[in-house]
Amino acid sequence: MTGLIAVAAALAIGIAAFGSALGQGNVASKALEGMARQPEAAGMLRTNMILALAFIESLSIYALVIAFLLAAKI
Amino acid sequence: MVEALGISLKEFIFYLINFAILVGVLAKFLYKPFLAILDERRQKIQDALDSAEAANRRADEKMDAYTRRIANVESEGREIIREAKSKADAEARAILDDAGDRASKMITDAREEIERDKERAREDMKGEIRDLALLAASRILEQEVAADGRQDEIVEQILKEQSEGKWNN
Amino acid sequence: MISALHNIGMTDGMITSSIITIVLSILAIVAGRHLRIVPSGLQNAVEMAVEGLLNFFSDIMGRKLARQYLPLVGTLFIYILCCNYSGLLPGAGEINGLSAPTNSINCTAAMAITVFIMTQVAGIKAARGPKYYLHLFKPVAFIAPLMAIEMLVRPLSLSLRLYGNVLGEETATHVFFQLIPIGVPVIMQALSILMGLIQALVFSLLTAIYLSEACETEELEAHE
Repeated sequence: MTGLIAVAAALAIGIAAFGSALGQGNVASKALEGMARQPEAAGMLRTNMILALAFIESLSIYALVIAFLLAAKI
Repeated sequence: MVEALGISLKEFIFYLINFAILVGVLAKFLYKPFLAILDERRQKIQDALDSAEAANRRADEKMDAYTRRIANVESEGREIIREAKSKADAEARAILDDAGDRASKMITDAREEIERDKERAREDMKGEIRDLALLAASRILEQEVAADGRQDEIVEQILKEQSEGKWNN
Repeated sequence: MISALHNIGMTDGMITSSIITIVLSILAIVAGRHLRIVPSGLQNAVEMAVEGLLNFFSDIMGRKLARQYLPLVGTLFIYILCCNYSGLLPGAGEINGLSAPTNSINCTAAMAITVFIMTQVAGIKAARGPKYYLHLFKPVAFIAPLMAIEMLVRPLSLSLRLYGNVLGEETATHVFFQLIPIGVPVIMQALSILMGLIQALVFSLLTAIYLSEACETEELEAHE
């Protein structure tokens, strides 16, 4: 049983990290492209990029919390 | 899961009260006075800008009025000068005309006087010549007429011939 | 004295939170005294902070709403920032009485529930009555359960986001410290500085967005 819980905790955070990495990579690439196209808008782009990164990361933080809860049960 | 997360009602209520107290204190002592000061400052700056703009507008209006008045004064002055010049010209012309008239009158007077003098001189000369002619003629004729008695006739004829202009000098 | 407090049942986070509250209150009271039109010194710094917050939230909420709800969102930002950074002070977690309050779900849940209640109050005030809840039935009537769930999940997501971030950073630093005592934890702490700021920003920003969304149900707000 503890083995399953351990596997579950690892899978939870693993898949969540994968998904959020994809999403955040997209955000960063589009933001960098925009900044390269129009350097005057760099400040505004940077602010909004940080915001979007935080939102996407929060989804993988939910999975992290679940992983902590599971790891506490081992 | 509740223990794993660490949820505890006491802690929750403590944090709730803590946050509420913080919001209350900050709202009363930080946000209210500072927002009021920000508003007051913005109002002051707006008032200063408005009054500066009004003062500018008043200054512009005054400047316009002054320039207009100066332009008026200049044109008035020019009018006065023109009038004076024309009046002076008219007067000068009048004086000249007057002088011209008087000069010509003097000339005609002088001519008339000359004519009169000439007439008088002619009359005088006529008398003298008559006397001389009579004297000469009488001397010449003394020997002839004394016997004839025709001297008045000859004198008349001589005078007639003279006045007809046979004797021109 | 701290052990006495421990005996009552106060955790380190609660003690730190009380200290933070007291320090911020004293700062506010001292700075708010004898306000002058031309500021200098402490009044200048605090004024810059307040005006910065006001401008930042005016972009999202519109000037009128920002002035009305600045106490809530501004205090959220300042408080969460101080809480996150108190976990980076030397000795946090080891010394008795010093620990980041936000690494416990109770703190973040308290703030999230407060925001939830304020959103409902603001919505009801703006729509003048329970008519505010009619917005759950727009645009289609049977979408109401989804909208209700989304409304109830908001405080959950807010609290979990902040809690997870802070707890994760602390745990990662702790684990790195146990693996390599020197140098590597500093990298994690540097990341903590950035993430702490961002999380405080995101929390208050989301609160501002929820408030503006609640207050614009019936009328079209004109954003300045």
